[in-house]
Amino acid sequence: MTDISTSGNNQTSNDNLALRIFQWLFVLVLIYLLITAVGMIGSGFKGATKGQATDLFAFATNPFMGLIIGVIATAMIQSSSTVTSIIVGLVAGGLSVEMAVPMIMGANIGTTITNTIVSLGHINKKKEFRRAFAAATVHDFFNLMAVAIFLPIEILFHPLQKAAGYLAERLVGGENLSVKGLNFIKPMTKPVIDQFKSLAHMISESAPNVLLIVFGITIIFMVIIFIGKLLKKLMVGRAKDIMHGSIGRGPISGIASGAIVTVLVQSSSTTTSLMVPLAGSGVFKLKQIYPFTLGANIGTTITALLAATAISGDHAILALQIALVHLIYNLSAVFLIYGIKDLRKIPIRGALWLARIAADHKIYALLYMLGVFFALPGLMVFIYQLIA
Amino acid sequence: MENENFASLPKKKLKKLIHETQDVLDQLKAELKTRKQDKQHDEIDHMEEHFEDAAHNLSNLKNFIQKAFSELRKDK
Repeated sequence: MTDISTSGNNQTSNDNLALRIFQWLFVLVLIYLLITAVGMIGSGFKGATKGQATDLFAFATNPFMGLIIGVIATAMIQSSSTVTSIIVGLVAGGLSVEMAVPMIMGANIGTTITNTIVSLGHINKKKEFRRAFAAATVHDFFNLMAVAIFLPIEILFHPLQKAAGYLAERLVGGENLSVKGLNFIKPMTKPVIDQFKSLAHMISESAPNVLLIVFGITIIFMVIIFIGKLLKKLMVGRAKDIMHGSIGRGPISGIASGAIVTVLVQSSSTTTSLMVPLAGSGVFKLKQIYPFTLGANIGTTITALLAATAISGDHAILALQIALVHLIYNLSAVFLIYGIKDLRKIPIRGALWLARIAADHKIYALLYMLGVFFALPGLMVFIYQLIA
Repeated sequence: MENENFASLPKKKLKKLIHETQDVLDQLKAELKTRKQDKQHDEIDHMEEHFEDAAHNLSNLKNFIQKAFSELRKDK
């Protein structure tokens, strides 16, 4: 009898192991598809614009227009990873890095809509809603502040673009510190991209490149959804361990664990949304949640870096440059805003103030979301055009 | 304890009392901290449920809009 039950347990454990191996293999396939899809967008965009990508995006020479594209695109599809991967693909296809930087910043703002929507689920209990909404919007306030500080500086002096360019040059272009070894990616992705090119030609003779871009975007979108679901299952145990380990260890540990959990689940929205119920229940204080969400900003930059490995040739440096802009921008924002005590407090105060108002009059929460994610970027474009 | 009692205490005894009280206070604070952290660990153990909750965000938005507008109508 015991033998039967032991062998039954062994069978179950073998099945679980097989399932996990299968799931991990599927994750690898998805990463391969993500990289391939970025390559598709790059190739399609290059072909569609025939080297005139900057002309096609002439409307985005207004940096606030770039910002609004990033905000709205990310808010609509609720995934900054998808948007930043697409941006990397567009840069690889010829979009200038200068135009892409505000889009990346916009994606940072747009992604905060997800945890704000999650916090709305606590509407039935006023106190709980106030805490949950504050935990969600502290991320918004931080990211808005980061754009308010860094975008004007970037427009005037391009420090992010220059720093990322220097690093990308060292990593891809230099003779010494080169990752030219990553060129093995191209032979791996090229056959699939060629298949999709043929398919695009078969479907449409007149606009195969546009179709290739559509394929690329669709694949990225699907990959991010599937990979998020799979990694949540596969990594929940590890994520728990990391979070258990960070309790009672201060803000630096909070930032680090937020970044690691985000890398593990490949989604900053998932990490920051996870914080909302923890804050809503009152068990975690806003001060504890805040560094964790900042870590999510840093951790999410891994996707664009991963996407950049898809690009080889002349545009490899530029693709890596825009991915590094995302990383350097988020790191700098955390160092500057969280590093300076007076600046650090602003997002907390803003979030608490807004949450108090929204708990009393829920319509303000809706007005806030429409304002920040849609109306404000539009207003900025209008003002910039007036000034220009 | 009332102030008069403290006034009559010798300095040495007073210092000892402060020390003891401080010790008890530290223990109470540590206990409170442990309880808070235990609760936090418990919440993290329910991470799967929180992931699930976070997945239903669009229905959250729909519900919220309905409730916000009904609240607005009531206020009027």
